Amino acid sequence: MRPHTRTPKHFEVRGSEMVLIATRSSSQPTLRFPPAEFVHGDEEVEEVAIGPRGVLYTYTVVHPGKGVEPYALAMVDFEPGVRAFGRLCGPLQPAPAIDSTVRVVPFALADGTPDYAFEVVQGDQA
Amino acid sequence: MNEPKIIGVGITDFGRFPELTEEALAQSAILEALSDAGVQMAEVQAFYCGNAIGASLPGQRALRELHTGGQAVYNIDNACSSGATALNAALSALKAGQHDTVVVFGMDHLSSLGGGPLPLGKRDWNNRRGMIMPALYAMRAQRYLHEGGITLEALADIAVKNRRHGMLNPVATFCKPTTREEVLASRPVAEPLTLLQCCPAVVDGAAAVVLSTMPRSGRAAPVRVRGSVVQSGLFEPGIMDMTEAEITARSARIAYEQAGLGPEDVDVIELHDAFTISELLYYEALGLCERGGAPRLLASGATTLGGRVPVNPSGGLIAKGHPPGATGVAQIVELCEQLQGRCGKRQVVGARIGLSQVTGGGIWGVDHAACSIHILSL
Repeated sequence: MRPHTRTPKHFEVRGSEMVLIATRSSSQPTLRFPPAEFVHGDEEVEEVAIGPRGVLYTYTVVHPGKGVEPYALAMVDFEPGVRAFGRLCGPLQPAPAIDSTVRVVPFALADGTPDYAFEVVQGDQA
Repeated sequence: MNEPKIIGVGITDFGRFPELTEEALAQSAILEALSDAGVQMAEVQAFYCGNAIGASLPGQRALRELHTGGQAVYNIDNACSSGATALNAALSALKAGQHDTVVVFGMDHLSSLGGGPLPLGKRDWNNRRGMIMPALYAMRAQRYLHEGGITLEALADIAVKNRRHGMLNPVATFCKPTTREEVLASRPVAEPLTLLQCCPAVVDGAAAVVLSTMPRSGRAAPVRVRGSVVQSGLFEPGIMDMTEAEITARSARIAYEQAGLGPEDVDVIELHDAFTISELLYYEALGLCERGGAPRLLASGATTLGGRVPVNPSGGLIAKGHPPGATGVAQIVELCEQLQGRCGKRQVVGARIGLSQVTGGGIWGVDHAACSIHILSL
């Protein structure tokens, strides 16, 4: 038997907002993000949108040095109990507060592939 | 069948040796360990090699010029736990009666990489988005700072303590003394971790031990392995507490049970202080203190040389550096020499029970990919 490859989308734009796509299945009933990339046999995979807003569990600002700009990374918790890792965009001064509300925003990987990131929701929007 | 014991140890200097190779370093450590054990190469029936960064067939590359006679070589890559995992595998073979005398060695040559954080798998989800090992630990630190479990000063004081220990260790050639202020003022790597809170990125080294079930008469008393554990990370895609070192706590429980001992019995510890935050988290995971008690334990002096349970008397990864394949075996070398009373100025007086802990690797969805704990005594 050989596994079946999925080509899942891991984010989706809905109007002015962006959500992430988590998955679960009978063999992996816990929601997971990133979504499953392959399945065994004829197992069905359920896709569940998470976001557009989550809670900033933790983050760091990486300083690569050697002329490379610092960048921020974050772990964000979404209902119903999924943690996602990604870039943290937006202003880093003042320093984002842990447990802040963040939203999913468009981003691009280094090779230009469309992707997602997180951004702290400011002020009244939080 | 006799109990397998460590009968000889060898270790190279840990430092930057771009003119050398990992093979040369490993050979040096192996020859030293054989000499320490009083064992001839021809008596060795198998070799277990821990290596994380080098190319394929590391053990054979290291051994071919030592004219080993074609004995079995087992190459083990478990990231930073490679060397300790090799020891665990060797012990299993000895206990099964497969061999009676073996060599375990670990080696890596980070000078070959040219600097920067340890390379991680390029296809990994997190790594494609910029994850590096310092960032993973930094995020743990950031959260624990938020929860009040640690302080910036405690993070810095780990770096100060371990470099103070490292200054007493001639193997730690890269080590310089430092102060809390210097640590906190050094350049940021991944906030809140600064450069002096990270193990040096480019360090080469190798370490080796000889194990045997046969009665031998080496230079020092043979060392018993009371507990030997390798565990793997659990897949946890949900919401987990990143300030709890689950895999280390789980490995420690198993190791203590194997040894019939508890954390209160341990006299000296070598643990995986790749970053300052890790040592604080592992105090709690190993049961040295209650949750949130790590800064107080450190401030009490208990984990400093002269304290109740000195941690990283060798200087640890922060002072010595961290060639990942070698680290787990180097920890065992240090503990053996501590138990045998061969550590000179950094000797833990009266050390009877030693514990080593090393973790390995960063892949998405798990706390750590691997963890190995060993408990030793005479």
